[in-house]
Amino acid sequence: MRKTALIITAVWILPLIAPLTGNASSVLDGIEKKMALTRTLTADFVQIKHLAMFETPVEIRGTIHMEKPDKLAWQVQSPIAYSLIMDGETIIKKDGDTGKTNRISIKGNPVMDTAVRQIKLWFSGEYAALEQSYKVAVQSESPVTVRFEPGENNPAGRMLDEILVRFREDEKYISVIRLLETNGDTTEIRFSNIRINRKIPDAIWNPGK
Amino acid sequence: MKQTRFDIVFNFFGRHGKAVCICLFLLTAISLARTSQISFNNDVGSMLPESPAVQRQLSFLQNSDMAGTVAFSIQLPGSGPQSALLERSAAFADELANLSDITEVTTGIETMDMPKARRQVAELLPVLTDPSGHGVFERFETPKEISEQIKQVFVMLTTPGSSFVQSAVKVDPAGWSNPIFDEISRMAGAMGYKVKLAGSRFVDATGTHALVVAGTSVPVTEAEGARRLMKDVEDLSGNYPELDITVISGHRHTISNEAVIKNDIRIAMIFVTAAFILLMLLVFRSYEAILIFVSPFAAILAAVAVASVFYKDLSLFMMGFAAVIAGIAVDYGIHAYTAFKTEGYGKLKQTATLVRIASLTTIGVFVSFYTSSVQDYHELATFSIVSILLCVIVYLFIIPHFWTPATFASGGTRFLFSGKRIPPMPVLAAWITVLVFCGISMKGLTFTTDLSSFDGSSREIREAENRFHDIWGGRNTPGVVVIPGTRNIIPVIQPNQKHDRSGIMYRVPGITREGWKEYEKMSREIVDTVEGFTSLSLVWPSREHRKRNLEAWNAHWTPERIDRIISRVSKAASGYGFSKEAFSPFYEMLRAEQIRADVQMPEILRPFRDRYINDTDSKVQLLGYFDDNLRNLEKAQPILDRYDNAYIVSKKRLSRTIFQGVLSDMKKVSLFSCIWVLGLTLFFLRDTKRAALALVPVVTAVPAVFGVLSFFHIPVTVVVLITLIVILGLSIDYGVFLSSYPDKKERRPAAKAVTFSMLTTGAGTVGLLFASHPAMFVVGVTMVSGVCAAYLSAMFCIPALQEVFGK
Repeated sequence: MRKTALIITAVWILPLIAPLTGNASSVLDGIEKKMALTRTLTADFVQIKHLAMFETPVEIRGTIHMEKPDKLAWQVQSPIAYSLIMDGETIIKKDGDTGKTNRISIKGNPVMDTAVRQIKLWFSGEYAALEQSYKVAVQSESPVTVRFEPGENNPAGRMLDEILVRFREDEKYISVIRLLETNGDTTEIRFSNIRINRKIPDAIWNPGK
Repeated sequence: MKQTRFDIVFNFFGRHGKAVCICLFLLTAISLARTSQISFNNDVGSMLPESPAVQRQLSFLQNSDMAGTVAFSIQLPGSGPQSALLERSAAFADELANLSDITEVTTGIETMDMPKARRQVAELLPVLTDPSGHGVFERFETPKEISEQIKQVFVMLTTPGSSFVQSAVKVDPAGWSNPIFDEISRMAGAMGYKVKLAGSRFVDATGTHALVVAGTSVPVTEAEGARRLMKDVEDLSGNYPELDITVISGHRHTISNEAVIKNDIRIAMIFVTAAFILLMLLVFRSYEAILIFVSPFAAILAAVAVASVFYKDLSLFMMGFAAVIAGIAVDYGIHAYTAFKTEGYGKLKQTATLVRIASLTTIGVFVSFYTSSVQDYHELATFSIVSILLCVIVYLFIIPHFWTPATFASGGTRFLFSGKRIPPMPVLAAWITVLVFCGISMKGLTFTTDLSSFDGSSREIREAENRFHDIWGGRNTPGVVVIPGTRNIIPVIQPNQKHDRSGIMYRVPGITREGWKEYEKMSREIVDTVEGFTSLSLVWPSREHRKRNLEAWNAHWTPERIDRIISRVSKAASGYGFSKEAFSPFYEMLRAEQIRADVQMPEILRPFRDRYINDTDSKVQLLGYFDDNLRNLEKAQPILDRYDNAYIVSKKRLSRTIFQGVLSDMKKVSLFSCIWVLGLTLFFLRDTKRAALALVPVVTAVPAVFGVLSFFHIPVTVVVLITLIVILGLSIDYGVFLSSYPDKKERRPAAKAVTFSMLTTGAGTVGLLFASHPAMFVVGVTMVSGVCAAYLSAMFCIPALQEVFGK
């Protein structure tokens, strides 16, 4: 009797699982196509970090600029002012108080390289290829919310348990991204006032000048 | 009439003609059987002077892991997904690992936990930090600096991607381990190929090619094993038609070089055979002459068989000279035949003296090769001397018994031997002009000892390598500093044993503490003066050094000092919201209570072991890498000289060492051959003027060869120098024969014989002009230009000089 119940359950569940996998792929493809239309992006953000190293959650506010293929500026206004400007090869760090800039090469720096690749990966929207190294599940279709869990051989699995990405209604960009680390730390970034395909001033990419 | 020694020997062979023929037939049959079993090699090393410095570097290059690997660049044509490429290339790699000659297959690196690796290194700071670097601690200890550093940590942790740095900043908030990571980054940059990781798999910058590297037990120079290995690889690649696989390996060069040389020899032999047949049919017009042309081939077979008794593996390069030797040897037959057919036995006897002088001078040239330290030249000498001796015996004493005396008339060459007088002054003016022109052309002459000038691998292989390097880099190889890993004392741990608390020097077979200490000492001396120098010991010091570092660390970080730092860091950190325990790992590291000098090597350094430690069954070598340029070489060498058995492997250096070795070797060989040729010429001719005339072809051939090489922008290699010495022997033959007959009428048969000699030698070498192998081709160019110049000067300049300066 128990066997029969199991078989019946399996017969009912299998068709539910199968479309879900197919659905994840098509949803990611669709999002990637829409986000591919985004050449530049400027948005305000609020990042809340729950880290074991801090007594209380840390809230960061600032602006993010992105220009494809590989430029990204992370400008923080509070609690302290600083900015990080990344291109394919270097990171420029600028202290908001002193105005001092510091250039760091990504080449040959595996930790920095990994960190930058992770940032670009999640902010770029090119998620279709992630199906090879992440278990992908669509948690909600309106607004689209996708959960990524690092696969067995994915080195990111050592640091991250899961990444949750929620998209805007028009699916042209992310509205919330949430990272859950293996040590229990979490990071949530909420984007607002999103401006797509507007020219980003050159001064953003050259903070020292 | 009293019988001379020539008559006695000649008549002896005549009386025992049948027995002699049977003996010759048997000798040829045995030689043929023996030759079919001989193994040939095309090892470049055996063509180079036996200098320990050269052999040591070549041996390192041929036996190091770098040489013994087979690399595969794999692409999935079309726009297939990367996952499909990785899946198919992994399947290929799995099957590759099952091949009998493959010892290991690498498709990537074991995924490294970078945050953990970074934390590990930071925790090891007390043993890795040299006391000379303690200045950074003092700078950090001020409240202002601590506040600034904590701010930077805050920035770091609030940036996306901070997960990857968090564990390390807890231990090392001041970034004291950064210089170690800079060094590790430099080491990674010196790894050779430009690879990226897709998961744990090596891919190129575009992510469209996968890299598979296989180690093999087959030595690069072992042709048979290389053939087997490459056949297996080819068969396996055939099972993956969907993949575009580019293979690069030293083994492919070995196989290709062998095939190319064999093909070149075949072409040269076809040319020489065809030329011999044509000469026989068109000039001699007699089947009696057939034995003249067959004899060198039989003599070559016998000579190869004899040489194989003295030398283990015969060189294929030496065999490349077979056609040239056949061309030289047949000359004596032509002289004998021409003389015999012109005036019978008497003339043959008279010519025999000249043949004896000419062959002895030629043999003398080859004898001079024994003064060289190069085994290939010894083989060439043995092979040539035996061939020439056998041919001379056959031509003078055996085959004339089969000839019938008759009046000899040749077709097609009468213009050269007509009675028409050629005015001497224009001839001499032209001769001097040519010499001056050649002298001027020689200004542009270049000498190369680049090993690639001996590499005749097919275009397909070179193109595959270009494709590979375009994708993966690695075209410019670094210089390598080599120091023995075992020295002075018996290894503390026997090979393959493990020790529970071991560092690298215990776990790698045969490396001693003393060996690593020397390696470190040398590396520290070199790194300050040599650009781009990397060494494993610079990031992983010897046990003694680690112990000293730990003692110095504890002396610096007194409990009071640590308490002061804790107080200052806590104060600064609280301002940014850090918890009290946030930097506890840092405080523990400062106390260094858990750390010992015999700690294990950190995980991040392990991928570098194979690159920096060359361990074979018999020895362990510790390596350092640097930018291979002359400035670095000049700076590194004096340091290396202070260490026993330490040496540099550098392509640039190797080239220079080879040049010096070749030069010193060639000096010996040419001095000996010049003395021999001059001595014999003077001894036999007993007339200074005649001897000087006999040398005219020699002094013409040498500048002519250099002029032609320069004109065609062909660099002079060691092969050119060897060939020049052979030309020396040939040219003197022409000089000896033509300077012996001051009278034009008497000179005519000798002139005919020299002409036919030139044609046969030319036939033996013209084929090499079509050779694909650069060494064979350069032999062809040198021989053709040298023989032509020697012939023309002998035919026209000797009579002109005789006419001007008197007979």
